[in-house]
Amino acid sequence: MSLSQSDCNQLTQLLGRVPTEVEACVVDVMWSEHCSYKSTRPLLKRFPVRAPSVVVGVGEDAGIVAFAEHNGRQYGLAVSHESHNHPSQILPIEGAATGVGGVVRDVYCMGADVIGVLNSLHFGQGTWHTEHIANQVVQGVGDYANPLGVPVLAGETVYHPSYNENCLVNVAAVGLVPLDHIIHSYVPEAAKTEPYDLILLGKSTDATGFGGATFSSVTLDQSDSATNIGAVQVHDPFLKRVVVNVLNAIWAYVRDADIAVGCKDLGAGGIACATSEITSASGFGARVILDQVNQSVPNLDPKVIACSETQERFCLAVPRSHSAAILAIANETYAMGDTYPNAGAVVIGEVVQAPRYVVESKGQVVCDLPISIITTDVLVERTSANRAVAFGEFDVAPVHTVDTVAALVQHVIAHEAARPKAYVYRRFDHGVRGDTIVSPGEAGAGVVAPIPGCLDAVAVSIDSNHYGVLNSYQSGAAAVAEAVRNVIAVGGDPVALTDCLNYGNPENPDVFFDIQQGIQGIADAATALGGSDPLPVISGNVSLYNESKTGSSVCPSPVVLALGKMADFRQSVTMVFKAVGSTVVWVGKAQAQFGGTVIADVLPDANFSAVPEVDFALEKQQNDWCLAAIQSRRVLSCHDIATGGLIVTLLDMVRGAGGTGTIGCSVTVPEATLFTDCFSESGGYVLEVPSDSVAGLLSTAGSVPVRILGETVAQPLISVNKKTVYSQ
Amino acid sequence: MATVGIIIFPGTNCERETHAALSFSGLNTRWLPAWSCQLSDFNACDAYVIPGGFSYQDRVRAGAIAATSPIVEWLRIANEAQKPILGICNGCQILAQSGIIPNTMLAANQKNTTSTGFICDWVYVSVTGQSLFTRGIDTILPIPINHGEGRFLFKNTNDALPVMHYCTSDGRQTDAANPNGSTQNIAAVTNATGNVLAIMPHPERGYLTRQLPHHIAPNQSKTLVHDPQAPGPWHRLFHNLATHLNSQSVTHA
Repeated sequence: MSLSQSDCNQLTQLLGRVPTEVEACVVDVMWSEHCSYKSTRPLLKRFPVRAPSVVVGVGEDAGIVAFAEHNGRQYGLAVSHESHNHPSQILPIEGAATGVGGVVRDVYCMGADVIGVLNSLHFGQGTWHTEHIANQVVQGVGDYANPLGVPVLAGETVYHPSYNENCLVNVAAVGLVPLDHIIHSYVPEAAKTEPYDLILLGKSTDATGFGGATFSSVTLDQSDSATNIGAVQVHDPFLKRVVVNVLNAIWAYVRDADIAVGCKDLGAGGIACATSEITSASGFGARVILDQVNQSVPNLDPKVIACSETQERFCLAVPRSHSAAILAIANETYAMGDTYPNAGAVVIGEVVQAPRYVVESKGQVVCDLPISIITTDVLVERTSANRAVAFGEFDVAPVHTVDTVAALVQHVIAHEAARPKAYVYRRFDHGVRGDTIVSPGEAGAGVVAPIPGCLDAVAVSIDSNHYGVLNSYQSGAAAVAEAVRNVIAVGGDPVALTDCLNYGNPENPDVFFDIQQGIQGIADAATALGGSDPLPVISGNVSLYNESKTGSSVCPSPVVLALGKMADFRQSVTMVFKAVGSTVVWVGKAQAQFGGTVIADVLPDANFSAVPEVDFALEKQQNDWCLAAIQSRRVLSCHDIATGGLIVTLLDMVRGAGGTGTIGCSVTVPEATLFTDCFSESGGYVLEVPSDSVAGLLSTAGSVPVRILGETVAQPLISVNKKTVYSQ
Repeated sequence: MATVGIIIFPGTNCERETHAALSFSGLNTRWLPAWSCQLSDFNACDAYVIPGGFSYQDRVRAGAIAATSPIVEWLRIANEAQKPILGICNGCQILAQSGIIPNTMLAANQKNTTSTGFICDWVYVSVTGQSLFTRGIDTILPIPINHGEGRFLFKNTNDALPVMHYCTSDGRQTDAANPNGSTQNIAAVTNATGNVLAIMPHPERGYLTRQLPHHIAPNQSKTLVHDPQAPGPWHRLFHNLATHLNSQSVTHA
């Protein structure tokens, strides 16, 4: 247990007595960084969270934003974004798999059906161990998503030595829900006048994952890995598929019976966390009887039953008069007990009016806490080592000829960042459900049209960068900017964001400063890149202590997901060049800022230090114009400029998904700005436009910087100023 | 109107798009959950589809547990009555395990003694041979695969009745075009009477043009498709089933 001595003293003082073992465990979990956000909660208030499109904002298991109307029914998109970093470092397959398992539960429990998942995988470099972890994490993501039957729509795989002892596995899930079918993460108001039961649905409880939430909130020590293994949960996507079918049948019953229910997934902190949160969120208390919990092994310790993180479970609050019917759906109609020993639904307690959280075991009260202690806003003061944050700095671009640039291009192509990621996404099912419109590899964002018979589509992307090594503000801002650009590049209109903040130990003032800056960068970009309202952050997660005891902390890694929508999936475009003789148009302005970029890795002696800065006003103009251009159907293909700069963007457009591209391009850039134009990661786009409509399109650009770069050619190559720098 | 029974096991996960593809061909469908289905409901169906998924978690071997369930016994009897039966991916594995497709097993993907693991990709198959589902489709078509155990093995290869072979886009059945090491590049097989099709790739993910990625169908780029419900290359397979069932109901009448 990692409940600190000061937490322990605080608890004793609040209670006026020594806490019981179960109480200490419950509080240990609920006060952990993972559950309480005690270091970051005040900072997270900087995020814009409101917009007219937000249906359910932060605070419930998933955020929901309005999506589309079809046949008189309003639909929303539910999104959750989580990390599973520590478990994936210790047991990569199980850690990554349960990461997917946990994030989809957040979406299912809102009454939504998961239509896709995304992942952001950050691996170390250069040792057999980092390679092993990378391979096993990819295996784990596939092992869960493939059997569950949810497509992996998009993702990113990045490598950096700072992840050698601490890989990052961020996963997000997107769900579709009719707005009149939303289930909330709290006990409904009706429980004031009618008895409500607490039902546990799913896998029978075992000891797996005991202490998982607290383990995620301490620094990893490799020598402890054997003892930490018990804290990693065990995945069962097959059983989850069955549980989800049961859940859908329960929702149908709930609608037919016209009753109000609440639902929460069991993740960190298990039964204790779910039952206390679902009741306290609407001012109720709970009485939980551990003897009633269906267990897969006998004689579990009460604190293990209360806090283990056994997977594939949900907690429901339902009117007692309907409990029997709901239990029957799981236990009889779906005969869950035949699928897994003792799996199914049981009543484990009740909602009480008094704001107390009471747990009983074998006739004894083993926990009796005021709800306020569990859900109290525990906060810790962190100190921040303020450093100057540079704005408007530039590097001096080295002078290059087209011949020397051609040599550099070879190094950029060989860089991990430019390596096609088919070796990852080919192991994930991205076509299940049959609704995928743009698959991984075809564009930066995935597109799916999830409503049968409806043209409305979802575009979604997840992104991050390594700029945080030098400038943690820009790492947050650039993550938002890139995710938004990826959504726009396929023709999506961005509507919401989610985030996961991956940092080291917040007790380290330098790290805490990075966290503050990253959050501010995300907040500012979300505000600047929205429309009349900011882009709301509707869900998120904080993962701290991504640092090993040897003192290496991960590169500040804010990961941002952008969610967009389009009215007609037929307006989606992909990145691969489509036709010979089209005009290649560059949107954007390359700045001599190379710090943290791919070319800085290629030229370590250049000591580049100015990080690519997001010019919010310019970025917003470019985004609006590009989206309008795509919507006007005058754009054949589009790809954003980000990691690796213009050269990597063109490379992607030539190679296409899985190297299937057949068309190249010939571009011309001024000799004076050759290096900067080719390798700068300043945000922008490359568009392929039919040559006969390019003049008309460019006349609408106004103050947006646009430039004709060249044309597409019949061979899959890239020629810069008549020199072939890449040939397939 | 003919009704197709969609058999689902715990772990089936492609029932949604399978249902959509059948409905698109005008077929009625009925869910047949293996754990609660009544024989009368089962017998009321004119044809059966087992969709893809991971029935019983692929325990022992993909399809092994499902193949021993009572509903598969009923399916065996339906096969004797020559009712059409389509098994896709996990459904294909179940048909092989149960012996409804004799002489056949599906092993883990492996090329040149190296495991490839789970593969999700678009490939090409050349369609030839006799089954009521593939009747008249003699051509080369793109199709997605999504499996970890899709390598056809036969007790006696000469007795196999293949109707699809993995190939290049111009129809060459090369080793490079064989994604999973399947015997003779075989992707799908039928039985002697042609009423059963056991297919590892996923035709229900290619019954609409919109399901095809750009690099597979460049001339049908989504921006150019005017009809969002334009039938894709594999609509024909489901349409063949509908045509067969409709002609039968006319005969019976």
